[in-house]
Amino acid sequence: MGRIQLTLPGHDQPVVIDLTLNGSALTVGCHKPDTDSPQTLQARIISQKENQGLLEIDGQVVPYYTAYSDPGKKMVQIWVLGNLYTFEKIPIGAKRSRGGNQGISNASGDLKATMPGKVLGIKVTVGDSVSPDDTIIIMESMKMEMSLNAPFKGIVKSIGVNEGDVVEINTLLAQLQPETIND
Amino acid sequence: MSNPFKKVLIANRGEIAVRITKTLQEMGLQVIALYSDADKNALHVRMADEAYHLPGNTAAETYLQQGLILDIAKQANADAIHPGYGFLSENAAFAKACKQAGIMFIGPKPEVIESMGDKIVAKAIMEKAGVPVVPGWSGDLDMSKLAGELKTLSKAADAIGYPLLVKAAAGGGGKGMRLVHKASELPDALESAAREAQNAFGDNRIFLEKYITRPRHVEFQIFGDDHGNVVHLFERECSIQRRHQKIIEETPSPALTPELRDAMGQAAINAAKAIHYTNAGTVEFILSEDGSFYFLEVNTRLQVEHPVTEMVTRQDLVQAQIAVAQGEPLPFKQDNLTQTGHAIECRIYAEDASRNFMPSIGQLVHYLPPDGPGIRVDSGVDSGAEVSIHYDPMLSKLIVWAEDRKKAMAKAEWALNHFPVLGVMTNTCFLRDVIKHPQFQSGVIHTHFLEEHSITSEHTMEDIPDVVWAAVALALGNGHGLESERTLTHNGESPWLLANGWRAY
Repeated sequence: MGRIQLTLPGHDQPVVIDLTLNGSALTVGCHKPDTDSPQTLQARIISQKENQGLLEIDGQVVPYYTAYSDPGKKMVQIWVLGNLYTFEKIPIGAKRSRGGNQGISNASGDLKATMPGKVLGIKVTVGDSVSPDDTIIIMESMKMEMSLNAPFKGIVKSIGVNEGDVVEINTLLAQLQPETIND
Repeated sequence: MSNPFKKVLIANRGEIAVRITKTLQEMGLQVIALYSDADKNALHVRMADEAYHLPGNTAAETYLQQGLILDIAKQANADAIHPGYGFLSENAAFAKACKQAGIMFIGPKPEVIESMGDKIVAKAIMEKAGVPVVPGWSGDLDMSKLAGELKTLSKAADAIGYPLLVKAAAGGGGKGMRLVHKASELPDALESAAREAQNAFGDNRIFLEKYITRPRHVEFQIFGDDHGNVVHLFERECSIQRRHQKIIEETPSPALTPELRDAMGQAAINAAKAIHYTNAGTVEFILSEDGSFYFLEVNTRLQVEHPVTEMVTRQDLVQAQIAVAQGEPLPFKQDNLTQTGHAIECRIYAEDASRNFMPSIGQLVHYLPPDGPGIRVDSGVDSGAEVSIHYDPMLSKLIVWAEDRKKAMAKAEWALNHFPVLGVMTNTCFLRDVIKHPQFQSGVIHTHFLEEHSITSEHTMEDIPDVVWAAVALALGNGHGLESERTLTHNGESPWLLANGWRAY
């Protein structure tokens, strides 16, 4: 009667979970990637509110709490059995979007904020040549400083922020163009 | 010459402001809180009897505004200011300004704050007082003519012994610091350290210090009053650190024998007496594997980790701070102080342990601290609070007490497993995994523990148990995530409406 696909952020293959109802009991079929047959668990919902609840799974009482970490409600945080997990929901039939959000995507040269915070310093100007690990931008968040470095040899194509700007996570800070070989 | 306070201003925010508020109100004192724009609805503001706005958000605009804070204190008729830790707590100029304004600064005298703030001066005072300091060499050398000075330095280095550290006099944050394993590495290390120090601080002076391998950080709580009484309230072991930041502290230290505790306690008292210390402070030592200990620095404030001392001594240190600031004698004497049981503190940070401990901000959807016998949580936030980029990411401190270390570790593990915080990422799972580590359990810890044992609380698809996958599917089935959630079941009911509660007895 229902199916959901979940992964850890940055993983390609989701776990496919099917729920079926037998009388008042729920059967959960949990199909992990690279396994032939799903694991089956018996479950019951003891109580449930908007973002918390109490479950019974294979005889074990399991309280949980949830929160969405993005407005689109694709990423869900769940606290269960003493651990906090973040999962990404993958729509049925859709392919997973590529890549994680590790700040720099090597293919495009886009330099994005890996954390929300303040731009402390910009070490380059448009047109500069940079070598791998050259510092491009220094960010500060919660008293912690972090430098964002060039992933490859290239040229600074654009800078999207000013010193002192407060930016959200994944804000495009600068773009680098890889230096083409034999050019 | 007791001078009882009626109103106290707390020049701080977060968990320490809340913690101080509790004691002040319990003592019948009025509490004045301060808040930045972002802290308008913060817990410490809601708890206070009066609250005043510091416009802006950065620390410099708000909680560091000495003049503004003093004006508010005067306007609100505050008798005293409690600075907490961080911000203005170790600012001698501010302590002096309070004194001039006739408002008691709850802490040591400005001159003491000043002398202990200069690491070289502090070291010299302690050496003179007979407190052991890290063996080393310092002198005035022209580092731009290194070749000419090399002989002097080599001789000094041989006297200290290898391995040793080359440190910048103006140093900080590891800049201008070099670890030297043998004599042949010395010239290069000196040159690069001096060059780095020159670039970073505009000051190329360097000094040499013996390098203590696998040291422990063991500190002693000290307390003095205006009547000449000085006591120590035993040690805190703070060796579990990440990027020089303590994350787990405990007392007693598993490394101290009763004899070593007496010796270090006496050294702490000697240090306190040498500077006529008043109010609460901490003498920090490095303890080497062979049991020798060396003075590191004096922190002239109430420490973040003071609750573990409160748990084992059954004293309220803030209450004692108020008593001393009011001119009363210390409420305890050395002979009455005992260390009972074992206490552990874990600092709960809004950070993502699986992404290199990057700060994590957002609204706390759930903030549900654990509770139970021997469990104390000093929180600066509650559910619904906004965690912003502006301040330290520490949300709260979990402190547990039990009869012995083993039971205290079990209690800490239980409590960390029952501490749901959602909306941001926190380090509760990481802290639990550190405490569960066999080396931590055995008490063999040192300041490089976390570098030496790569503890990761990162999950992999394979190690997530089936029960978790099932739970998340059932949780998301609650009106959202399922593809065919609207499909009616055979009897026309959604399974989520069929769910029965507990069986009634």
